Amino acid sequence: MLSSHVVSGGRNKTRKSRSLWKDGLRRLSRNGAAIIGGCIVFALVILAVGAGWIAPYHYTDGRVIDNYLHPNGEHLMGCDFMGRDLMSRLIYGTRVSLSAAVVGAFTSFFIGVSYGLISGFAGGKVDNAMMRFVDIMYGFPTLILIILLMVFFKSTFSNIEPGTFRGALSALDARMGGMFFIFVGIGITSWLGMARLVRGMTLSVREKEYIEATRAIGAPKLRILFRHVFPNVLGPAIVAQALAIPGFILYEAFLSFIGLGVNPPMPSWGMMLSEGYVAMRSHPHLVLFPAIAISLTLFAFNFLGDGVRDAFDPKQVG
Amino acid sequence: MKRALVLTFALTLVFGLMAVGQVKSLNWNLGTEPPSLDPNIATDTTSIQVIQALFLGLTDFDDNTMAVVPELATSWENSEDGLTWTFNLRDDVVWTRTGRKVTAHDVVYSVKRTLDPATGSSYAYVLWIIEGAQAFNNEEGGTAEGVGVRAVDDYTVEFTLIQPAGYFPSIAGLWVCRPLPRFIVDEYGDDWTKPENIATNGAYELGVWVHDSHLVLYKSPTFYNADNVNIDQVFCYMIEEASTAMLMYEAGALDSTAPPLEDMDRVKTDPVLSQELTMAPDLCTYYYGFNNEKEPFDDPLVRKAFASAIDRQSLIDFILKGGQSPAQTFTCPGIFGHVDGVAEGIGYPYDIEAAQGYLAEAGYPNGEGFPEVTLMHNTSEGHSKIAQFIAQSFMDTLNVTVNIVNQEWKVYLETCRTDCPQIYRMGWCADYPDANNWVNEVFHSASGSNYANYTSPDYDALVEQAARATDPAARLDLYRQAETLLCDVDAAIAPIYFYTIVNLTKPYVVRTFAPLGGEHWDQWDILPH
Amino acid sequence: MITFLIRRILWVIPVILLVSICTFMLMHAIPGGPFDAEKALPQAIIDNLNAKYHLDDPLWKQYLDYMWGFVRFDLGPSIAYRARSVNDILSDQWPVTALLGSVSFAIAIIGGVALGTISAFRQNTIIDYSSMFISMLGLSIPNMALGPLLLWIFALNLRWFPPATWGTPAHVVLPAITLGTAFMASFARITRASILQVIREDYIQTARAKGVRESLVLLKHCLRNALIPVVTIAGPSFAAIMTGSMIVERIFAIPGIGKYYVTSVGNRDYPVVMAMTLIFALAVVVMNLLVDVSYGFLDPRIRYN
Repeated sequence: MLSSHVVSGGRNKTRKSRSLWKDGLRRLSRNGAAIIGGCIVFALVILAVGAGWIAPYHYTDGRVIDNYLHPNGEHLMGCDFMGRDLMSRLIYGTRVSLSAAVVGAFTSFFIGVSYGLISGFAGGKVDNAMMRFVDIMYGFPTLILIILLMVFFKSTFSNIEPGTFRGALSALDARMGGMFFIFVGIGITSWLGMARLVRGMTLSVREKEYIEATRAIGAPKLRILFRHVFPNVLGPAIVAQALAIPGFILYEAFLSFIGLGVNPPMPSWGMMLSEGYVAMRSHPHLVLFPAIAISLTLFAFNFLGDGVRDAFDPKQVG
Repeated sequence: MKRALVLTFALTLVFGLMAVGQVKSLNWNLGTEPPSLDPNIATDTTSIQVIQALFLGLTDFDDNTMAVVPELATSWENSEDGLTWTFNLRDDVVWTRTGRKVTAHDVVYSVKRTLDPATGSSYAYVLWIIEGAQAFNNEEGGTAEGVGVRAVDDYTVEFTLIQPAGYFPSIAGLWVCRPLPRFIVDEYGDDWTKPENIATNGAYELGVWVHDSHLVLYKSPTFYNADNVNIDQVFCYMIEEASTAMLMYEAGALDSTAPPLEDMDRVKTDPVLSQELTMAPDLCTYYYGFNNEKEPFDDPLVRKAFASAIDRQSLIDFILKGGQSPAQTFTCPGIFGHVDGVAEGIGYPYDIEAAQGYLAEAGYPNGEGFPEVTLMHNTSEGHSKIAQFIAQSFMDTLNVTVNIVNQEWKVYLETCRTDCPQIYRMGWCADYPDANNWVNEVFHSASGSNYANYTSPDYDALVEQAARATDPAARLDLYRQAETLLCDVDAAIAPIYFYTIVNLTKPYVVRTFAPLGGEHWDQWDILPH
Repeated sequence: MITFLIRRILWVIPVILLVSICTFMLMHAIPGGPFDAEKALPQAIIDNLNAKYHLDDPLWKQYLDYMWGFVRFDLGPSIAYRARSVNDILSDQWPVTALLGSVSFAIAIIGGVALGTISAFRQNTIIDYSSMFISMLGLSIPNMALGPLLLWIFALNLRWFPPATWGTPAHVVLPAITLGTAFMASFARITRASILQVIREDYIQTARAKGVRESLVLLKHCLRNALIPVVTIAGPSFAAIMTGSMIVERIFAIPGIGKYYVTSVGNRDYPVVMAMTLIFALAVVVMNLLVDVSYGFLDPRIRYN
C-alpha cells in the first residue's frame, strides 16, 4: 500500500488518504451539538437495556398510599396515581418509547426501501404504477387509517386460543403489552416517504456509468440491484430514517393519548404524558418529567441526525 | 310568526333585565354535543338533561326523597287488579310557537311513536310492561292500535299493563313517554328538533343551538309555573376535556363542574374550593363481572377468591377520592330493593386469608397452576386506573397473573356479548327507582345485558316473582334473596363501588342535586354576585 | 400550463376511488355497528334502523350509493347525530378547523422562515444556536402539554386571553400557537439548510460581484429559491396540522371537525368517516397542486407546458 506520509520538518505536509467514513466521522466529531445528541442517545439505550438494574424500583412497585407524591428524597421524581416511582417508570418507559420508535422506524424502513428499490429499478410502467399508488396513499388521512387498523387489530387479535396462528399472534401481542401491533400499525402507515426517497435515489444511481458497465458485462439484474444499487442507496436512507425517529416517538405518544397505546401497567412516555397532563395544575411533576424526557430525546435524535447528515453529505466540502 | 313574537318577547325581557342587571344566567357544561333532543330517541344523560328542561313528563322525581311527584299529571290511580292506570293531566300547559294546549293525545302519540319500530328507540323496552307494546315494538305481529294506551278525553290518559307493576308511575315520567307536538314532528320529520322548528312545553325553550359549541335555553314565558322560575337563561357549553372545564370554572366562566379526580387533593385542601365541593350519592354501581361459563371462572370458588381480593376502601380513598361507598351487592342505595351487603354480611368483603383459602380450595394453592387470565375494560383513563389497581390487588393477594386489555367501546360491547372475557368491567345506572331495573333487567338469564352468562333458575324465579308482587315487604325480601344468590352464594359478579356525584358549584348558585334524570334548573336560583 | 392543471385535476378521480374503497372496507371489517349499545336493542329495532340507513344492503351497493351521493355533494346523514346530515356538520364546523389550521400554518411558516433565515445568515453563532433551539422547543413540547400550559399561564393567571372555547379573534391565539409551534421547527430547519445551500451558488456570488445591494440579494435571489423546499414540506405539514388539530380542539373546546376523525370511527358513523377521509384526500390533492404551481413562480427554471 502506497503510504504517503512523509514526515517533513515544516510547511509541506502531505495529507493522509482518507476514506469517506473517516472523513465523515471527523466532521461529525467537530459538531458539538451532534456529539451531545449522540451521548444522550447512547445513555438512553443503556437505560433501556439496563432498566432492571438501574431503576430504583420495579415499574409496578408502589404503595397506593403514596399516590401523587411530589418529588422527595425517596422518590426523586415523585409518584404516580398508584404510588409507583415516576423515575423508575420513566426509565422502563425508555424501552417502550425507544423500541416503538426503532422498530416502527425499521418496519417502515424495510417496507419503504423494498418498495422504492423495486419501483426505481424496474422503471417504466411498473415504476409509474407503483408511484401512482404511493401518491394516492399520500391522500389518506393517517389518523383515520391508524385508528381503523388499531381497532381492527385489537378486536381480531385479543383472544389467546392456543393452537391457531391468530391465537399465537394474540399471545405474542399480550406478552409484549400490546406493542406488537403498534409496531405493525406504525410500520404500515409510515413507509411512503421512504419509498419515494429510495425510488428517487435508485433512479439516479441506475443511470450511473458503472451500472451501465456492469450491465454491459452481462451481470444479472438482481445482482446489480443488490450488489451495486442497494449499498449506495442504503447510507442516505438510513440517515433519513434516523431523522424520522423523533417523529415516531411522538407518534407513539399520540397513540397513547387517544387510547391506542400499550397495555398497562407497562409504562410508556406517551401514556405517562397523557395520564399526566390532566393533573398539570395539581401535580405538575407527572407531566413535567415525561415531557422533558420526550423533549430531550427529540433534541438528541434531531441534532445527531442533522450532524450525521451534514457530516456525510458528499456535496459539502470538508 | 307567533314563535318569532314569543322569542322577541323573551329576548326583550332578557336584554331588558340585563340592562337593569337582573338577568340570571347559569353557565353550565353539558360535557359534549347532545346526539339528539328527540325524547323518543335519546339514550344518553347529556341529551336527557336538556330534554327534561324542555319537555314536561307525566311525573317527575323529587330530588330529596326520590319519590314520584306530579308534573304534567296532577294525580293518578290504578284499578283493583293493578292492570289499569289512569292519569289526570293539567289543562294549562301549552306548546310554544302555537299556544296550543298539551293534551292526552300528545302523550298517546309519543308513547306509540317510541314503540314504533321505525323510530328506532333504544329505550322502548321500558315500556314493554304496557299491553301490546312488545308485540308492536319487536314486530311480533302487534300494531299501534293494539298498544294499551289511550286518551279517555283531552286531559285523561289510561294505560293498560300486562301485569301489575307498582313502579309504573315512575316509568310514566321517563323521557320516552313525554308528550310530543305531533303537528311539528309530522311537518318537519327528523329536523323537528332544530331551534327554528321545535315546540316545547317545559320551563325552558330552545333558543340557540350551535353544534359542538353551545346551546342556550331561555325561560319560557308561557310555562304555567313561569312566575316561580328564577333562572332566565341557561348557557350550555360542550367542553369535553375535564381539565379545561376545571380551568374555566376557576376562571369564573362556568358555574358548576365535576373536578377531575387528579385535582381532588388540591380541591379538598383549598380554602375556597373545598367549600364549593359536594359529594353526594349517585344511582350507579361499578362492578367487575366474571364470565360464569369460561374457565377458570366457571368454578364459584375461583369467583369467590377474586371477589374477596378487592380492596375497595383503598380504591375509594386513594384512587377515586370521591367519597364513594364500597359495594357488595348490585342494586345501589336509594333504589327500592337495595340490600346493604356490607351491613348485612351479604357478598365478599376484602379478606386476604379468605381469598387465598377459596383459591386453595379450588385447587390452586398459592396460585399454583392457575392460568393467566384477562381483565378487559373499555378504553378510558379512569377505567384503566381502576383496572391497574385491582389487577395489582389480584396479583399480590392471589399470586396469579392478570393481563389488562382495553378495547374501544363498541368492540368491547361486541366482545362481551359474543365471547365475554374472564373478567370484564361494567357499570349500571338507574333508569327508574326500582330494583327490577337492576337484578331483573340485567342478570335474568334471558337478559341481553347478562354478559356474565349467569343462569340460575332459582334466581330467575325470584326476580320474576318480585316483579309481579305488589306488597313492598314481600318484594324487599325477594330482592334480598336474589342479591344473596347473585353476589354471595354464586358470586356471579363482584360489585365494587356505588358511584357518587362529585361536583363543584359556585356559592352564588342555589341548587339541588337530581339523582335521577336531569337537574331541575327551574327550581334553582342565582344570587347577586 | 392548462394541460398540466387539467391532468392534475383529473388525478383526483383515482385518488378518491382508492381512498374511499380502502376506508369503506376497513370500516366494515371492524366489529361492532352503529347501534350497539350497553342496553341491547331488540333485534326488530336493529333491523329497522339498519333498513333505514340501508346498512342491510350488500356492501357493494352501499358503497356505490354513497359514492353516487358524494359526487352530487350529498354526503349522507350522520347515524350518530340523527338531526344532522354530514353536509350540516361540515358546513358548520369545517370553517372553524380551517381557520385554526390556517392561522397555525401562518405562524409556523412565518416564524419558521424568519428563524431559519436569521440562523442561516448568522451561521454557527450564538444566534444560530438559540434560534434553532427555540424552534426545536416548539417541536419537542407535545401539544397536549403545551396547550394546558398556555391556558394556565395566559388565560387563568394573566387573564390576557379567554379561557378556551371559540368566537372572537382572541380565542384563536393560544390554540394557534400551540398547534403552529410544532411545525415551526421543520420550516426553520429547512429554510436554514436551503439558504445555506443557495448562498454558495454561483449566481449569488455573481450578483454580489456585480455590486447588487445585499438586501436585494437576500430577498430576490436567496429567499425565493430557498423557499422551494419549504413549499415542498408545506403539503405534509398540512396533513399533520389536521391531525394535531384534534388534540388542540379538544383541549381548547373548539367546535371544529377534528374530533370527528376519532369519534366517528368509535361511533361506526360510516357516512361521517367516509366524508372525513375523502375531504382530507381532496384537500391533500389541492395542496399538492398549489405547491406544484408555486414552484413555477419560485424557480424560473421550472415551467410547465
